[in-house]
Amino acid sequence: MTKSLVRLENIITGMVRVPAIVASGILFLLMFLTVGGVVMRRVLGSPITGMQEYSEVCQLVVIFLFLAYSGWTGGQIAVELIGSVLKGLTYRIVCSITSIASAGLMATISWQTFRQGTEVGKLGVTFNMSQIPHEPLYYFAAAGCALYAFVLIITASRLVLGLPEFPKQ
Amino acid sequence: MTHLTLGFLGILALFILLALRMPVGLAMALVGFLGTGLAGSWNAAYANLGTEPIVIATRFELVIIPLFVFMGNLATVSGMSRDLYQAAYAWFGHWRGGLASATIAACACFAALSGSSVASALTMGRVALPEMEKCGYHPRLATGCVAAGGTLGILIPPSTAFVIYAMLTEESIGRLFIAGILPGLLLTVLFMCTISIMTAISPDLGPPGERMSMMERIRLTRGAGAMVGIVITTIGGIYTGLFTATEAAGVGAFLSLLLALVRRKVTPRILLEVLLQTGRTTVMVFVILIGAHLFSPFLAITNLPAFLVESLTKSSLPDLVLVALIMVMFIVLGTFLEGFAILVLSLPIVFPIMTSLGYNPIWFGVVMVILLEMGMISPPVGINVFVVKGIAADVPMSQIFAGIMPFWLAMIVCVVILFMFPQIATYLPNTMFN
Repeated sequence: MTKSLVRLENIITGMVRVPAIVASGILFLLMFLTVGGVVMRRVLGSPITGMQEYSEVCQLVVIFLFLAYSGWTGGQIAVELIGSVLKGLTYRIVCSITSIASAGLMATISWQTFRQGTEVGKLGVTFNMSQIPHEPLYYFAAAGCALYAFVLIITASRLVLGLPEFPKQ
Repeated sequence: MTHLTLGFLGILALFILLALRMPVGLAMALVGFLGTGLAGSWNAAYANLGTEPIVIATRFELVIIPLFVFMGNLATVSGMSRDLYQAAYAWFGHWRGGLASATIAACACFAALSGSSVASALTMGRVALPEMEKCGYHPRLATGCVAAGGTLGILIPPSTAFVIYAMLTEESIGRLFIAGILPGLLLTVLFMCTISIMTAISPDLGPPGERMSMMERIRLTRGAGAMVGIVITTIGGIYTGLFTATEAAGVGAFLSLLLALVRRKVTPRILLEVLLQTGRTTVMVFVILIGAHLFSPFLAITNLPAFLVESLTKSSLPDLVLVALIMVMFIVLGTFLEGFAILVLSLPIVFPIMTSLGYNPIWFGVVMVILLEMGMISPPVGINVFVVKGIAADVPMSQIFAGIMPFWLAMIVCVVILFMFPQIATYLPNTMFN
């Protein structure tokens, strides 16, 4: 049981860490893109066409690639009030219920974002300057939300099984 | 059920979900979604869920968040905090309580590189607390000044709290950043005065250190020169209009990276950890912002903010009493809610009230951030206190809170001064754009 849990934990850690590492690279790129934009505009007098849109796309990718990693490493702010009132199993069950509710919400967001993506795809919406299509970005966000929903379900299971909410990083 | 009742029930549901430990952003999103569905239409509620996350994630002004967080994290790993501390110590160390004053001054400088109070308290605490312990400082003063000094992180630009405030109120991020400078300096001076008063009453709290020669002072100050250069470039760039706040964040992060590389403080492994930490913090802020933007339409449908504004402005209470009550509410909320949570929960309701009373939104942003800072050091959940406790594990919580109290009072004095002289917050942004 413990062995399979450890294996599952490692698999999930990999599943959320790999996208986070990719997102780190994009974040790094975003910094250079911003500096490059300033240099091109201020120093060389030749602004990068669609620079703002490239930054927006980078930001979206960074956020949704990091979303599940943030959830898996306890990166979300929660108010610690019930911890002083409820203890043991009751506390863990309450926390797992809120985790499942959160997972339900994220799954719904994922579904709706995917649906909006198909609508946007039909209309052929793109960014004005760079002509980057919006559709894949919606699918990307949907995938990020779905992965986070999965992480939240695992977190709920961990709580019910009496394991720490977040695995040791 | 009227929309207004639904609005009140929504607020109640939100507090229940928060109390049940649901992440703040997700709790707001859930209540916003269900509330919009019940009060408006389910089609609208589903459409909001499918579009708002994308809309928020692609807002160009918000690129400032990952870049400034990256800059702050780089400043933390590259040992800038120690240089700042040594430079401040060279100038203030020989005063009674001088090490504590140096901590406050270094916190203020570090705040100009980092937009997070927790990061400021943690970074400066690791450097300053062992030094103060070595010099025989009372733990009450040592821990109190680190916790309080850390709060300057979200007042002195860059500040994550200002970015969130700007997004929720549609104010300019650049103007808010510039507005935070003078109040930040004022609070720094007030904290230093507090230390002087404390050590004048009880000299044992913080004995004076050795006086350094002018040459030594200049040498140590020069060590912190690069950081000062980064701060002047970023904040000065925003003020002079050389670049936007977002561009300033990119430039600041780039310069911090260069500095860290020159000092050989960054290996690929450390850089990856810094980037992962940056991403984690960025997502935390974005989830809250997305939640707030899903919650706002629900409040608008229920007409709750308008109802509260009308009720309060028509009440016989003088404006000043009304504002004082709002301030007290923030202080009370700060005792059990996290700062960002207070910001996103209260702004949709409080901001219209303040603007309808004729208060300047930029000024209010500054005051609100100071009130949030007070929450960060208020019992029982003052996050900075736990950060300090993490570093000084042997100091009892009661002693840390006792040490914080005088600084907390200094913050009240700062708010009162800002009420009397609102120009302290509004002068710089006005000169910047007029």
